[in-house]
Amino acid sequence: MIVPLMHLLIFASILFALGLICVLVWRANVIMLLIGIEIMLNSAMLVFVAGSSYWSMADGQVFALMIIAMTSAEVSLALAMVVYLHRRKKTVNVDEFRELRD
Amino acid sequence: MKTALELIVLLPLLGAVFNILLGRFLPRRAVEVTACAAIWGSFAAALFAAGAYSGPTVVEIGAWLSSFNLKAPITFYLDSLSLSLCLMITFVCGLIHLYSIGYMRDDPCHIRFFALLNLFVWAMLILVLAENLLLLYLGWEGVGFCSYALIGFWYKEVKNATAGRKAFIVTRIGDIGLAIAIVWLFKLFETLSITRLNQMGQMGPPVSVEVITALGLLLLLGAMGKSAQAPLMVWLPDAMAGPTPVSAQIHAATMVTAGVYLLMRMFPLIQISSVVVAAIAVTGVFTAFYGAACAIAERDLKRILAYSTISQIGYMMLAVGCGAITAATFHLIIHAFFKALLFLGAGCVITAMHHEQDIFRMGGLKRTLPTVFRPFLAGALCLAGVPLTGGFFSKDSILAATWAQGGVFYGTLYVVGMLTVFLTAIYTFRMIFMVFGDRETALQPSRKMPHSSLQPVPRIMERILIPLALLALAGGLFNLPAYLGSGLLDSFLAPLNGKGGHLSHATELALQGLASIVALAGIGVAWFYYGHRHQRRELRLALAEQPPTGIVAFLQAGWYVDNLYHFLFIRPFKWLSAILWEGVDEGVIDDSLDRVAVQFGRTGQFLGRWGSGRVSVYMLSLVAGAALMIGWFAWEIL
Repeated sequence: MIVPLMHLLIFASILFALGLICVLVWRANVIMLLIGIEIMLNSAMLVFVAGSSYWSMADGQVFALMIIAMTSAEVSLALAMVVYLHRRKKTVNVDEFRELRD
Repeated sequence: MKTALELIVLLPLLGAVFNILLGRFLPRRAVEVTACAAIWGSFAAALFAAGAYSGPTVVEIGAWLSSFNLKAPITFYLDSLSLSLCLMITFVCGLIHLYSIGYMRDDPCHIRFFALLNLFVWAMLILVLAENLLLLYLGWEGVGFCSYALIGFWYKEVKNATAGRKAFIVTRIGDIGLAIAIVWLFKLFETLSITRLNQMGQMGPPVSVEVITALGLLLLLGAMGKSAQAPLMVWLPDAMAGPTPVSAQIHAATMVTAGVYLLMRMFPLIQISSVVVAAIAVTGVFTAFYGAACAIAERDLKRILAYSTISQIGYMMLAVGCGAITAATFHLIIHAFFKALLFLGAGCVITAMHHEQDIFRMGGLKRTLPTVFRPFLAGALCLAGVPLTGGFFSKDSILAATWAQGGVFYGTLYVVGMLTVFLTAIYTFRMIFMVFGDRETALQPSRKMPHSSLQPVPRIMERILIPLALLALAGGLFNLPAYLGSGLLDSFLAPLNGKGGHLSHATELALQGLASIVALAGIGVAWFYYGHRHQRRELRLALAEQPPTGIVAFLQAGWYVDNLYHFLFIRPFKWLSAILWEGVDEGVIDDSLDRVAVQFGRTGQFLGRWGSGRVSVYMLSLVAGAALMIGWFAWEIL
């Protein structure tokens, strides 16, 4: 393996932290929230692939493929929801949508 | 050698990327020069590679896909076949690029056009040079994508966009066959290297003949889609919606020859199964006949040429089915010259006629466009197979190879092939007589021509026709028949040929004599009906005003194959979709989901009383909780 496992883990953690910060900070836009979630998922996927290549087992790569499939399904749903929400309130600010409470 | 190969492939890609990224900041001339320079540079590299060529070589450029036992590096395989195709592709595409400068001179989207054109050449070169099937598949799909984007280039008209989609979807059906074949080959042989697979084919593979038959048929399906062979030929006539240089490039050099190339490349493997070889030959000869029969009734200039391409590619398939790889390559190259010539000539005619494409509304162009007429006539002579032109020798080498196989089966194929020669001569000269013959008798041009004067054709467009015409006429010199000395291509490509009978010089001469008589007879028939100023010609013109009936309507509609597919596939598909949409999706899934949602809503309303309702607060608490848990675990470990 050309890249050491530790580097990949550190890189993935940085990626994860970036995604997390994006989710926490950027609450004015639901699309940025989705992007943050995507970044975190990608960092998880990276760890899977890194592990798979470190132990030379295919399982991790297979799981990464599963995550890709799941992510695409999730994004298609989420984007549809964004369009729908935007149509209802003309805003994408997350905190505007509090109807679940009432 | 390695540098030369890298340059061949990289230059078109660089040209495309450069124009995509920087094209909009540059003047129009710079974009055009970049695009053309990329292709001609690639041609120069190909010439250099030809000069340095000493035998089949495998050159590894770099790593690409590598995962466990699947290895697909970027490796190029240069042998006589791929080298001759590379030279042809870069040369013909270079001329087409130059021609496009004239043809697209008023189009505002020239950057997209030239970038896609360059990318098209790149994909085809990857396909031709690829040493493993996965890289070949990259080129295969690249070609498919570029053809889609270029056929639908003027996408603002619905008709053009639909034609692009049709081309993409129909070829995609064939691609499925190729994709399955590739995966299956990997499963069986644990390698995707074309050279290794072919070696195994020659040594006798470790699998049964039936498996090879299935694999060969899947590859044939892929080739059918790409090369517009029956039954997947429906996309090519519609692909005429694109700009004419694109049609020329698709038909001559890049897209449609890919299928034939695939079969030629894999021939050592698939020749093990006689079923596959026979299927290739039958597909080829049937398609050749179909294309010629449709062209004979067609009225649109570009669609006639499209049908003639279908027909000529059919001949190439027939040659592959007879194991005559040399003949197939020979015809492929000559066809590239004269078909590019005919399309580019047709582009000049259409430009001059203010985008009128109906040949019954043209006429008299012999006098008004002499610089187009002479090269176009050369191309037509080649297509019709008039003796001593390049097309005559190449087509005859295919028919001779069919005859040499002997037997009733190949005898029948030979007869149908000869019949197609006859039809080809008729429709070619029908086109010539209608477009360039007398003006007075032609129908009045329809809506499009505001006045009877011709629009001037840019000088560069006419100039390009001349080298192509010379090559098409003199193309026979590449591969003279055995009785006139040995052929250049013959000795070059000999190791690739399958087993076939050998003909004596006398038989070959007799066959060529027969072919020339048939071709000349076809021209005579065309002259009889359309040629001279006579009532028969006027009768044809009068008939053309009325909606077609009987066999003419049948042929004009392309044997109603489109309607058949609409009935067989599209209608059931729509019906099934309607059921799935209204019955299953809306009825079952949506309805049950709605009920579940209502239930959840009620529960949520009940639970919501304890929440704040703000997503950001939830997020923060989620993260805080997770941090707490991780902190706890860390504490435990320490």
